[in-house]
Amino acid sequence: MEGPVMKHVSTGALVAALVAVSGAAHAQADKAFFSGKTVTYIVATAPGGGYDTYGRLVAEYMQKYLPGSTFVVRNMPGAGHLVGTNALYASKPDGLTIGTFNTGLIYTQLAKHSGVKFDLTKMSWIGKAATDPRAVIIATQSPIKTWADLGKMKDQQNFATSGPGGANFVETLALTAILKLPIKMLSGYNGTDDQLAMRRGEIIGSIGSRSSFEQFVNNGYGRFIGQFGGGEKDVPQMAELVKGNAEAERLVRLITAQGDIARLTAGPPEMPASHLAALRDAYKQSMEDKELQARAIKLEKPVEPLYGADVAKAVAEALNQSPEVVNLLVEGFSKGK
Amino acid sequence: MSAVTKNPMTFVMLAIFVVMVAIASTYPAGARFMPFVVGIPAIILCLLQILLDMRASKETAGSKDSRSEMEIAQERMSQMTGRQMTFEAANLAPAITVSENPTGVAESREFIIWIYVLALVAGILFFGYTATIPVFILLFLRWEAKCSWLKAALYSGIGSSALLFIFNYVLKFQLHMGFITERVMDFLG
Amino acid sequence: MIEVMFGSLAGLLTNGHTMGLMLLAVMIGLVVGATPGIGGRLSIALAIPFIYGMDMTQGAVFLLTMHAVNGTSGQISSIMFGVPGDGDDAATTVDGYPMAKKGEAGRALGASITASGVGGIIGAVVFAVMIPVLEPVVLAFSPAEFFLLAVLGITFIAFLAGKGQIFKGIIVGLFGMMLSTVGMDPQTGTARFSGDYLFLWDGISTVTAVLAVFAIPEMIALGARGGSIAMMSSQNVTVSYRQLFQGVLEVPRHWWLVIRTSIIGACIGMIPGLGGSAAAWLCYGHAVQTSKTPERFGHGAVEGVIAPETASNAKEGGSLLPTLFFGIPGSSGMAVMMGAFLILGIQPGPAMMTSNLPLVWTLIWALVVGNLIAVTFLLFITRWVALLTFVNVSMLVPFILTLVMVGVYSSEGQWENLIVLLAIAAIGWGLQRYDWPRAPFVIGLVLGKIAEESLHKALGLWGMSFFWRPLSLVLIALICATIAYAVYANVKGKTVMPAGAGSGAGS
Repeated sequence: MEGPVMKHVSTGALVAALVAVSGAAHAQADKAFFSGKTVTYIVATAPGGGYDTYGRLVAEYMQKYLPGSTFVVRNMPGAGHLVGTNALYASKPDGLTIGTFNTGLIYTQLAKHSGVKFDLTKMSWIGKAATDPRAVIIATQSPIKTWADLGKMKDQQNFATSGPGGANFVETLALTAILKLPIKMLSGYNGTDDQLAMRRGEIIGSIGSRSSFEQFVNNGYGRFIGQFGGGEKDVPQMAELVKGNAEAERLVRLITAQGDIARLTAGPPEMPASHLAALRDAYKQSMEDKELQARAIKLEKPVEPLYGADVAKAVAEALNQSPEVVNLLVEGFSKGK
Repeated sequence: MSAVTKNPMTFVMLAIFVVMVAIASTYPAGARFMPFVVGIPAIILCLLQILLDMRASKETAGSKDSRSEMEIAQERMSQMTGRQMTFEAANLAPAITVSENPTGVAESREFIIWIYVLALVAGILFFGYTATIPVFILLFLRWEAKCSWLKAALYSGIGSSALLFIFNYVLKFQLHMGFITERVMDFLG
Repeated sequence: MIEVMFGSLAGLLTNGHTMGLMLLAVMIGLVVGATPGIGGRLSIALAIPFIYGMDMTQGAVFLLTMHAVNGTSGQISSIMFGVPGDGDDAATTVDGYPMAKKGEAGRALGASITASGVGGIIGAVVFAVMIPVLEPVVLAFSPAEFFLLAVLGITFIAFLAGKGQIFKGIIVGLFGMMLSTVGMDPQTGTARFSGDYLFLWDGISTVTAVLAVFAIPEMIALGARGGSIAMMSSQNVTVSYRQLFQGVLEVPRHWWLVIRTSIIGACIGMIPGLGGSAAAWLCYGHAVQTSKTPERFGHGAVEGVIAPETASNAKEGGSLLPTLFFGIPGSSGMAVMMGAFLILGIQPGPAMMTSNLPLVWTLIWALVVGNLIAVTFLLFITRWVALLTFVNVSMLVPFILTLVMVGVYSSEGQWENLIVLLAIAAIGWGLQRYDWPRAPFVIGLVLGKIAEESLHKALGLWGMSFFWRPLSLVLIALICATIAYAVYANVKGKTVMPAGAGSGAGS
């Protein structure tokens, strides 16, 4: 990867993750423990919406594969998934509390945000269900047709972002800074505000998850000019587009990791290995369940699961970033002050 | 000053705005814009309102209400209870024959209800909804509505069960468990 | 075109399964809506697991009906107990509750339920009519216009203060706006007035604030006063169908107001970004402003009940437009709905107009028929429900307080909101006790947020020159005219009577 720079995840944490990986792999799955118990599945958003619906889907099937258990979804919205994730991290690690949250919290943790009361590398990772690559979208009416075009624009291009600390704010800021792009960031655009703004012509582009813009692009209102990871072949990969710029490549890898680990499920640290193994087993069986797969397609896209140990590894790698990138993230969280 | 005792809210509002504007001044420019735009005019208006209050209280201190105290009391009683009320004076010294409580007690009644509300919230926070609600309804019905223990228990039981049924079974929505109750449940395993 | 229209209606009415689903949806929506705090989002989220296998049309009809009816039953507790379910209902409470205190609960409910139903139907009609012009209308509204609309709504505060109380009214409105700044600021990411309290970073919950300012002080006053909500001797208990019917007839009597507020409500719903209770309050203010006898408002003017109800229900129909045709949800409830539509295989977008028009019409009819069913059912049970206003309050207060406590928690699942409730309730109680108006608070709270966010965006896009956009100039003219009229009316005394004068325990 990037050579000897490994300053932001201590070697200790990486080793710990690897040990946990091997530990859990050898533990006997204790499904019997869950019989007659209630598992609380925390969703860090309000009811309705992608995270909640997906979370309820996963919970429903995990309940099926942990016979005798009852899964109850608990919504804990607030502070951009921080409230729910903090609560999840602090909950009793007996295996009866697990949950889901936005992978974008990787940025939040890297930037050492004051609201972060968790360490993603220490969580008990159960699995992730989907890949939702980030992508750069440009409104149709703009003359920008390719990534190269964007770099060549003379005037500042209006890009919509959510707000300081938001995932796409951080990503846009970092990309603009590293690649010296002609982008003017406008904040305050949440949910689908940016799509409407693009249709009105106020905003030229935005960085967001591919799935949230799929409809928009299909209806002819915009086009993707670059994508961070993901298996779709119709849009050029950002990794290719920024080749040659080492810092940009590192950033692209970070943003790619974010999109790769979508729809995750995790539990608080130091869960008994046998309980974690049981949860992982149930999760795997859920992902392989034909019904769940069909429902996932109806919801958004086919599942692309990754289980337990592999997710832990991916998260640890994502949190291992150079000081330059970290500085950009810190700036992204405090911009405007 | 009678202006304060008659219109304490103006001072309360003024205090709130002053504190919030003060806190806002420690924020960076973009963040303190709105609080200033809202707070500073509000402070000015509060001050103006205080002036108005002082003028009003000076006026009423000067002029005497021409009605007798009994007529005033009569009107207030009627307003408070919604029942037309006439007081009869047995002699020139006004004596209220209606056995209603004088105005002062209305305030202590409100105080009592506040205590109920505070107790309810405290109960929910520490012992959770499931434990507190039935007890609260039961006690309130018994002490305030003067229901018999049986009736109070019955109503409380029906109401609480319906509520808990809807939340725990239909909506599968976990109501707050209560800090103490949580510890106890953990302890019991 | 006509065949498609009526073909869809026939298809809807003759399909037993669909009608059955609609009935079920109406029941669920009404029950969920009657409880403060539980919103449409949760009910749709819970319904989603059941719709995976459903037929597209049936699933859509089910969800839409449930959602549309959700907003209709909140008025019951608003009118009867002064306990609003959310910001929308607070507007109904301002005049609805005083009507209940006068013993006119039946009439108030009859009017509000009918108004709701009619508003929903007109909203569906507006939806149908606006389909061709949707795009230019929605795209014409930028953050600049949102800001000015919010300011316009805020100026209505001036109408809601009593004579000689204009300062107090504005102060309370500003207080609401100040509270709306609590939380993460959109510009700099500063956590205003919330420090390390993460639960405040998204702002003060509207449900909590509304319940704190209206419901708790009312319960305290009621509990202290004793007697029954309707302040009259119990010989006069005549909640008969006649009173109810009187209420129902109020709606056609004020037909022009009904049409205006429905259209305004639907248009507000149509424009994504101006959601929440803006519609209800703007139309309430409009009703006060256009009335010849505005002093009746706040004390049981039936128009004060009709206007917000038609508006908030019409808004539902309106918000369906951008959701279906743009793929951009018209409100947060619609955002959840859109997710559900995707599951059912409905692809929102301009193609809906050409490829799936029958479905669109079926949905419009579902709104109409669903509203009719809901109204009929509600009117039927109101006769008994309204009797509760004659019951001894000490019997009611504990149950209502329980509902309030549950509502506060269920809206966000955070126990800290209970403490926020107490803090704001203390202020709300003070306001009520000392005859300060409380309605402006909700307006400030709801519109303040929209105003700040839009202003920030507008300045970012155009700088100060955004004031010169044509639509902006129109709105600025409207705002100036409103303020001028407000000052004139206040000076002349042609305004809402101050709380406390005439009907005892304030509004």
